[in-house]
Amino acid sequence: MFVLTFAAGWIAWRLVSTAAGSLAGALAALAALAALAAAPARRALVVLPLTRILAAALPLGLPAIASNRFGGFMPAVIIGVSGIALSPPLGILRGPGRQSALVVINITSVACVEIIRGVPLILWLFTASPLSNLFLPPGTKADPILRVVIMVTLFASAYLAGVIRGGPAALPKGECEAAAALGRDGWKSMRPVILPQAPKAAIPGIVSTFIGLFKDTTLVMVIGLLDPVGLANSIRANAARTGIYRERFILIGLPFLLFCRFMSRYSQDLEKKLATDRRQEGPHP
Amino acid sequence: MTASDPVTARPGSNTPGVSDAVAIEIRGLNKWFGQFHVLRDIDLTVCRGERIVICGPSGSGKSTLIRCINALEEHQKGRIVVDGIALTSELKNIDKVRSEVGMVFQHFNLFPHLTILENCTLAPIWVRKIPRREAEETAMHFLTKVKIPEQAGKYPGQLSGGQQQRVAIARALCMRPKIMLFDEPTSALDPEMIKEVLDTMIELAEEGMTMLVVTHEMGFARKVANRVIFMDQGRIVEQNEPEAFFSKPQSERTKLFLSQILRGH
Repeated sequence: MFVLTFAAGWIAWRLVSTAAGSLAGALAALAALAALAAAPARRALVVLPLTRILAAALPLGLPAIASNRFGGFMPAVIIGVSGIALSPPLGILRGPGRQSALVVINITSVACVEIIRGVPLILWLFTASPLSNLFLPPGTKADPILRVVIMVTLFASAYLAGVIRGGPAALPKGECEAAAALGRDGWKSMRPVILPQAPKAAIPGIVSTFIGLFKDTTLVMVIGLLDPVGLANSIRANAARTGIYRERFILIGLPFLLFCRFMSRYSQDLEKKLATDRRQEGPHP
Repeated sequence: MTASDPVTARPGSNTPGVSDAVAIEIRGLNKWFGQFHVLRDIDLTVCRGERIVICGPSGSGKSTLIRCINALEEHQKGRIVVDGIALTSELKNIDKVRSEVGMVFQHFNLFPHLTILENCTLAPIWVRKIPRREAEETAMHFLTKVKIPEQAGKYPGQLSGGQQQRVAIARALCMRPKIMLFDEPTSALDPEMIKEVLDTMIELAEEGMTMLVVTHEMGFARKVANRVIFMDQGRIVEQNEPEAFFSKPQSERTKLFLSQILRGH
């Protein structure tokens, strides 16, 4: 089940990251976030179709589980995958926002990044509930998982904004000068010269942000969701299982280790695939 | 100081292939990098078809001078007119000047993610809006001229330094510039590759291209230049026809520089 969920997340991530370059991707993700915030819409648009598809694919007749009863790796994977899929478009929007000549946009995006990034995630998780009451229409009962997903996404995208901004900055200055000398300076050199080369430079940073995000999902324990660590506490509390502790930690650590290893492995492959300088093919004799 | 030298007054006027039409005119050019005064009161007139070699110790402002001509560096005082277009802060003029002026850099600055052919067609397609087919034909024409048409499908990283620099020359030529600027084009090359690049530049000079070359290749200066300019501490110290420049340098500073650079030649 794990593998299936993760594979689905991986596909989603690929789709999103290929679409991420376009503004459309970002807007779609924002629209999706907004739509998901309303519970009935969410039920109609996402939950029911997904359940049907899953039920058709795997006719096990499993009962539907409400999100407030999620526990173990389920919230970790759902929050992690959603955060990973939703944060890049936001991060991409914020990168150029920071360099915008429009003072309002510039100050807003700098402030957003600095405030969100400068406060520990755990604090954001605590404030997620009062904050969501402020921003969502009254009477909306925001789902705890959804609240966490929104917070984690905002948090990760603040980090991503910095990382993504670093991509174009990593390009040698000479190439920009050459483009300028040929008549395409500044933003006009973006499309043919900078954008095709930026992803490769940004990927290691993006993936380490993702790995951090995935592991940070264990923090949901503090707002009462049962993440793997929280779940293990109930085992510790059980008198029948006193003395069993090594197994608990290995069982929790190992899946995280595997997921993160998979992500870093995938990022290495992606970097190779996106390598644009073709130096590894060796010089011409 | 030989600023009032008759040669300067009518530069290269008696040299074949050089017209009286002015390609570049620089008057009272001054530039600062913060507190550092890089260019001091530069006056320079370049005629169409002229080949000028600029030399001088490092930090003398020679690269900065030619980078001012296509506005890669902004100047703070003075007047630069390139092919009748005054370089002001107006972006339109900067774009116009850049499309008339080709530039070759010390470190080639090819786009590593594009093939050789794509490097050469990028600006014609994006800036000049020339159809791809036509741009590719032009690119192949100039790649043939620099003698590497067979490398068109490769990437810059797969070529030697000398080949990359020849691609850079072809890439600049594809914009059909009236003036070519060379910023130490052979300084980053291994000795055995310098010749192939210089040969390409000599060929270009023979076709009558207006060229400003920052280089320490004195053999090239003797062979190709109409005028050699020596710069030190942001000033043009001396300029003359190559024979006179090398045989009868006027200032002590030039003599010292030449004795250092020509040692072992």
